[in-house]
Amino acid sequence: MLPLKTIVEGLLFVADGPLSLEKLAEAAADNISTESIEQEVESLINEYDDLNRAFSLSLVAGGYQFRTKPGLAPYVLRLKKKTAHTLSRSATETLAVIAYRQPILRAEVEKIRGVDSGGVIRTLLEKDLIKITRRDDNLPGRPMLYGTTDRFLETYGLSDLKALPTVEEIEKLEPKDTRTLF
Amino acid sequence: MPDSLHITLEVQDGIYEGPLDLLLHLIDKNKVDINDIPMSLITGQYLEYLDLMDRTDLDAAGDFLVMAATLTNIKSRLLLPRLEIEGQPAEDPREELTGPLLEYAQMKSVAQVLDQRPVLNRDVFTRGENEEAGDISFIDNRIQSTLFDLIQAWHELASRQEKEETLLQFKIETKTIGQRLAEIRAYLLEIKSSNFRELVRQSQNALEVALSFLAILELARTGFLRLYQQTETDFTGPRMWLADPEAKTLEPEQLDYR
Repeated sequence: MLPLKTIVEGLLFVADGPLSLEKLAEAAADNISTESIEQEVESLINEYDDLNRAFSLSLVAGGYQFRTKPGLAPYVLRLKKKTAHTLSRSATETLAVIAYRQPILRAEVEKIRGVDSGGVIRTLLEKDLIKITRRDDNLPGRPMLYGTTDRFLETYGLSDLKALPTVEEIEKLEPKDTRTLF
Repeated sequence: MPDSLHITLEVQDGIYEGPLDLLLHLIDKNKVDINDIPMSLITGQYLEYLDLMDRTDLDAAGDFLVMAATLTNIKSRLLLPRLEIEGQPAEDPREELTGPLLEYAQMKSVAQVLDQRPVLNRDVFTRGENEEAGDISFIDNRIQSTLFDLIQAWHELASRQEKEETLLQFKIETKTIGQRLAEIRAYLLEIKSSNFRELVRQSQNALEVALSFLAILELARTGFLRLYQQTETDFTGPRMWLADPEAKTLEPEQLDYR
């Protein structure tokens, strides 16, 4: 019987996406608590950090996943013969509005941005970064409300939506004068 | 003048996301306080930018023009004597600009912070290809699918129809929705339940499949039949059964818009 930590490590190594504690527990052994799995995962995270490897174990979208360290990007992209996945400025801006104000109507997004956002919203839907969460039954025509997806959390390396820095925190980072932001 | 030339290029390159973005730039460039905007100066410069803008993009130009009207309106209201209500400071017409501007500025910095994070497939990478979006979790067995899935299914169905075309082609008179609806109705009254694939099997072309689809939707809407789908990708075989033989449907003539 292998040590639990080794089993957890192996499962994380082969996984396609982030693995939640529940999934790890389910695969690792019968009747094992998520707490004991979490203990092993935490210890693995620390061990990889101490080893200073090219990758680390991170908590994203409610699960754990091995990810390379940022400096490796140029080499990985050259190996894969691919260009980096980037979002345009308007797409990032729209995504930010949706992430911080969700659930939000398209009309509200456009009011905040001051421009038509239909095309950008469609692009974000196609990229699976946002989804239609529900319809607003109190408004005529029951317009659609948009919110972010798990893919959004994975893309920006966030454990969950609460991990988004609050607007107040962001403003504290920046000088008080809004002019200097741009 | 070099500044003016610079402006032209910026506007034509679409550097400004919209009127609010342009206003923020002007406020920044003139080093003025967002809470105390000198309307005359900013409105003047804004209108100059507008003159230089490429007006061929009517959608974008429209948004910029609305803002121009708002600016001019605020500027003219500032010239009028303000109504002082006792004990309350007079309302500043510029407030209707400051609020949205501050909110937009906030969202812009939020977007910047988001963009500075290590982004997957730009800065950090996971093992394997990672082209697919993680796992699909099912919430109490409800089917999770989007409009895109539906369109995809439609394409598959349409291309299958094409493949199954026979060598001999006859010009076939196209039915109307009304006719198709009456046919399906009569068929279901007899056999009680069926599925979509079965109903379109005899269709001669894509148009007839579409007509059948619309007729089924219309019958489902009126409660004549019920639709049920087993799995997420089971778009071609949704089952349907007779629910209310008495359900009122529109008269065939009312549906005959082909």
